[in-house]
Amino acid sequence: MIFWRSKASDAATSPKSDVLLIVLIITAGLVGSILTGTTVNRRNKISLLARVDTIVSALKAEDVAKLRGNDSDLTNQDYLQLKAKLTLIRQNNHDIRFVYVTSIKNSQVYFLADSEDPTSKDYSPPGQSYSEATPAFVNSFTQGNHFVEGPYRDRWGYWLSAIAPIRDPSTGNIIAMAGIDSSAFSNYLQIVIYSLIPILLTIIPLIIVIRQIRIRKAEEEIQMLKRRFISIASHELRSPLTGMIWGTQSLLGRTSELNPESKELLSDMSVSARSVMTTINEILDLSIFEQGNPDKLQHANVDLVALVSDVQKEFKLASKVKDIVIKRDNSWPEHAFVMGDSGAIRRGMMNIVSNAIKYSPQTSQVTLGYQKNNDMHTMSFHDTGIGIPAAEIKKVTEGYYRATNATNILAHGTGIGLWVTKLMLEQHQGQLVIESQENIGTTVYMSIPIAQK
Amino acid sequence: MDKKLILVVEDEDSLSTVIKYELENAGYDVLVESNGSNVMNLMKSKKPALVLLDIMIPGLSGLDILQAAMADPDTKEAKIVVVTTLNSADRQQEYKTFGAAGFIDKVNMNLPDILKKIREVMVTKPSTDIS
Repeated sequence: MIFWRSKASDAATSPKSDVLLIVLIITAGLVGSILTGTTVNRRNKISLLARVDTIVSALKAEDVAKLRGNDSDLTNQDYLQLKAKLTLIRQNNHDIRFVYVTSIKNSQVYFLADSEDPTSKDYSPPGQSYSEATPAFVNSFTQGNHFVEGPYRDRWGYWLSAIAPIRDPSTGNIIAMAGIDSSAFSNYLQIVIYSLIPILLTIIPLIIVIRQIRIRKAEEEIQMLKRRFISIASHELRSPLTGMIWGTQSLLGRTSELNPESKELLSDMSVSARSVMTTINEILDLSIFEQGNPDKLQHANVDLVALVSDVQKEFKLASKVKDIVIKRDNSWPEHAFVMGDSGAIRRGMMNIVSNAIKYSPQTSQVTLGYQKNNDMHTMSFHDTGIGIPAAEIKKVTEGYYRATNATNILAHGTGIGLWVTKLMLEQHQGQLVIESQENIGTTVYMSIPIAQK
Repeated sequence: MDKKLILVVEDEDSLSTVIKYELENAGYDVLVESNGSNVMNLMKSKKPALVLLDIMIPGLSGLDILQAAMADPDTKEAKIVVVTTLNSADRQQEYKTFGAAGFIDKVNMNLPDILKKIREVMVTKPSTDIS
């Protein structure tokens, strides 16, 4: 036995979640940007500190100790060698503008040597005072710590600097402080450039999300227009069609005026007109249910038992042709109330019963059962017809699909009936369940929540 | 005894013809009007026992007529049965609150059901608690 249960489709995303998603993406971009910016800044500082430490380890403390910090150094080999080293280091580190060694006397920081050519205007001869030295720089001569300072401004520019002590290897005393300056602007520039990357990256998902929202809005509009079109078209079709149906019904009522041939012809016309009406109703129902439009449904107390007996009467004539008995078993209560649209539920029942009659053999029975389970009224429609092939049970409720064995018996049919009935039940918070076995029969269960008092 | 008059407001000729025939057969006098603008005047001059009012008609809409008739002291006692093919069953309640005496769903009701409904409304007393 094949068992298949329908499920309500997922709710569409709301505008609220759209806004939330956009805010989330932008926030992620900003957080990423801030994180990147601070990381770049930190790494630049660490890199400066690491390099000044390397420079210190490459300098010979005893040579530095020999410097006097005045013009006499200019001819001193130790000075010249130190200056050559500083110049070389400066040349090999493109992001560093100055490399220098300083000492202190009477809380005045002064240069011992720098990386500049003596002809350069930025050249600081030995002994030149560095009056802009920050308190941290001055203090480092006594504290002996290495550190990064800046951004700060001095007569040469705007800097980020790393300072480290040169110590006497034997005594550990601080002989001098070595320093390197890199442009604070280029540090800022790097921070800005790297911070932009996460922001640029978030633009891509942002564009995608906005596009999706636009596409969805357009689709919703198309769906709305489609529904409106179908609704208008259905009215324009149904009004004259009702005239035909009533006309044939009226004529069929005038038995004395009709000969048997005319009566048969009229009867056929009536059946055809009714079948067109059924198809139009299905299409209209579909336009309402497919998009989930519960406000188009009536919300009233509906007695399923009254509806079922109504449907039974409706099919009396049609079932007589094939000598099929539509029988309600003794499981039915006196009333079974649900909240919903009686017209829609009635059409759903008629769909199922009409299928049962269509695909049942001559002289058979269609049994209508009832069951109350949990908070649902469940009606069952059982026939001993051709059944639905196992592989196709799900498909017949998904629209525009008719089972292969059904098309072999009856060429025409829209393949909408079960689909629209399933959607209708889902709109009522109910469900459609089909049990079927090929060549044995089909039972369709329609469940709708019991009306709350 | 005079026959009771039913005013049929319907612009679909095939429908009004059938309804006219069936109602005349059932023993009523029938007046058919296809334009909404004339309905109020007819209701005042002919005092029909019942009005079958299609909602989608040219001129004044059925809903406008219903509201106007219920607001007018000359016509507020009239029994008006609203007829429509619109699937908007949610409107049904709206029509009732506007003072409709009944509702006929052209799509889901058969001719015999409709005649039965008309007979039912004809014998009921006009409700007095309509506001």
